[in-house]
Amino acid sequence: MASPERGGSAAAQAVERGITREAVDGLTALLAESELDRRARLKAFAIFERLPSPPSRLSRAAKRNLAAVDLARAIPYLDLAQDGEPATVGAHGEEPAESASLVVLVDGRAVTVRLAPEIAASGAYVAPFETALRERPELVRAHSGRLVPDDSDRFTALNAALRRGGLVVHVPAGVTLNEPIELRTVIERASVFPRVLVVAEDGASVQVIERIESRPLQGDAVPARLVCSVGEIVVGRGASVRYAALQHLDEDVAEVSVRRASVGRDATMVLAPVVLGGGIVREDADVVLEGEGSSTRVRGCFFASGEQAFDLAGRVTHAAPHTSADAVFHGAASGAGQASLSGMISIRECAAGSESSLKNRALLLSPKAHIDSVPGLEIANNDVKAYHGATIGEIDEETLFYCQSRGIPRDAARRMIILGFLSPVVDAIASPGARAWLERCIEAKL
Amino acid sequence: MEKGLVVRGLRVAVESVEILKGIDLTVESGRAHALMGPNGSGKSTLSFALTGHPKYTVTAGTATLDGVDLLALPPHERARAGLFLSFQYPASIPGVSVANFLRGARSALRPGEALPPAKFKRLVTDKMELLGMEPSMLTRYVNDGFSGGEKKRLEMLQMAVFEPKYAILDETDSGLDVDALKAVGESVNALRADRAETGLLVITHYPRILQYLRPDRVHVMMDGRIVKEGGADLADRIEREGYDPIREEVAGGVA
Repeated sequence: MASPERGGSAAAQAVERGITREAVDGLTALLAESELDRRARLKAFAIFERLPSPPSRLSRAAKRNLAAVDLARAIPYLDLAQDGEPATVGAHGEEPAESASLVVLVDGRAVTVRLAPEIAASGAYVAPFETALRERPELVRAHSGRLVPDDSDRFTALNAALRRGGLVVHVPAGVTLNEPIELRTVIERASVFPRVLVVAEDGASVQVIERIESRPLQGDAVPARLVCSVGEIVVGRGASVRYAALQHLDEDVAEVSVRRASVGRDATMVLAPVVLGGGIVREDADVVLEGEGSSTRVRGCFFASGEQAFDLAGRVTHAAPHTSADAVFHGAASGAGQASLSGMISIRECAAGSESSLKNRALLLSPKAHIDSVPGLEIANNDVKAYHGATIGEIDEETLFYCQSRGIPRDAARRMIILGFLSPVVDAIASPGARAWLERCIEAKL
Repeated sequence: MEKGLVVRGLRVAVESVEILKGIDLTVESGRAHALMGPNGSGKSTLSFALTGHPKYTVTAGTATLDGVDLLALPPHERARAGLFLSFQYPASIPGVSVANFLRGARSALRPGEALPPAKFKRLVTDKMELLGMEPSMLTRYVNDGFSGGEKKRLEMLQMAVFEPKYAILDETDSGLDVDALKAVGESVNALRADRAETGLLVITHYPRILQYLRPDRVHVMMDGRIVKEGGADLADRIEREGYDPIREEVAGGVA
């Protein structure tokens, strides 16, 4: 085990390979963590080893699931201390950063932490996860692992075992942050296990944009690459959180994530998960309306092309009276792209007077593409309004012809119609820079 | 080069069934032609065949636009040549705003003539004012959740912004109540005044819209053929008597 080293060359970063117990030990040593932390990580690793990979929800590509990821060929972390040398950002879109607050993590290391003046001025706190653990341990320990317990499944346990990178955002009561906070997780060679914790206290307001991307790898000795993340979002009474998670990884990268938000009394949560990249992807987004009068708007979209296989689930739980949810998922598949979208509305007995709507819309762009669209309802109270619906279709010939009759060539018309189909989600993202980036990512897939 | 939208001996089939059985028709620049006829006579087939809808197969004849062979071109190039169709049932494009659609289409129609955003906005605002339309429509998705009247007015706005040489208005009056019909009729008149050189082919089943829009020439189609032609008074006659007398005349002539 090499000692921690700053600014080492790429060659010096070569690390033992494989997701192993030794890797957990090595990471603990690298980060100079306490024995308590080490034990917690090893305990989580034991759970990871014990639990099976979650079963695929894909009907036609069940083999393209997480069990197919060769973890023995993954690099669990890079042998560099936290806060390594600066790297260029933006693997796919090389535009200058547009968010006033930006944290960039490359292979798990924070290379950029730039915060808008309003953060310090308002008493808010934003830092990479490890920094936050040092600087605000009480905050992190009070919340982390509460919404998504380590033992939720095999991969939440793996995240807890190899956790590195990620972000902590804390917004004190009554504080409104006007500038979005952007977290950019970039991976090069190492697999990453980021954890995001957002805590908006009563009456606070914040917008977080998470971008997950990779740099393409060339050559023969290419490691398996995995992004395994956990996100926890705590929305206090009357608070407002907008959270967009935009994933555009290369196709050799596998991704698994669990994000869960708990929404307090009269609070609102906007969640926009966008899945464009990755080869084998499993994402679970979950909003729990805990407080009376709380509401959520979920706008999810995905686009599976080539050989991509996306196994996605969205769930809204109404756990208090007079809660409301409006969830819309739009997904497209081209080439041999496969996707499964399970949407679920769950209304508990205590949630009288709640209203919920879930709409799945799927667009198939080639004969080999396939989308399973599975909306579900569980309702335990009669005094509620719930709607769910799913549609699946192809691009309408008449719409194509209409565009062509306006001088737009057929290919351009197709692109326009697909972008339009996915745009309800794109429009829900309040940052113009992130929106433009997303549109470019989608166009690159067309 | 023959000026005008010129159709000669056009035969068109849909799924091997012949609908148009030899159409001869010339739409002149700057003139308004009405193409009238009962339901099922083939009027809309003509508009789709000229604009290049893939479902319609031309089996014989020619169609030229100021000398350009339309039938040799894919649909978007026919539009670039200067042909516009106001659809009877315009498609909706969820997620694409009217503003973006107008801009994308206009630059596709005139690739060499890109307007800077401010100038384009000005053009659209001017045309909306001309048509008495609210700018709020620009941010809505194209025809998505539009009323029948709104759809037809957006077609008129497109015609105004694209400035075609020839425009076919396919049943622009269908499905509209009296007020909406009046608004659309006035829109067409405003467009004619604004841009006098556009040749119009107004396809209609009912002569109602012709109260607002006096045609220079009226063509009557029945069973895939033009059976009678005349001036505006022919439309008045159809208004009074319907199509039956003409049908009998034609049948008598054949017999």
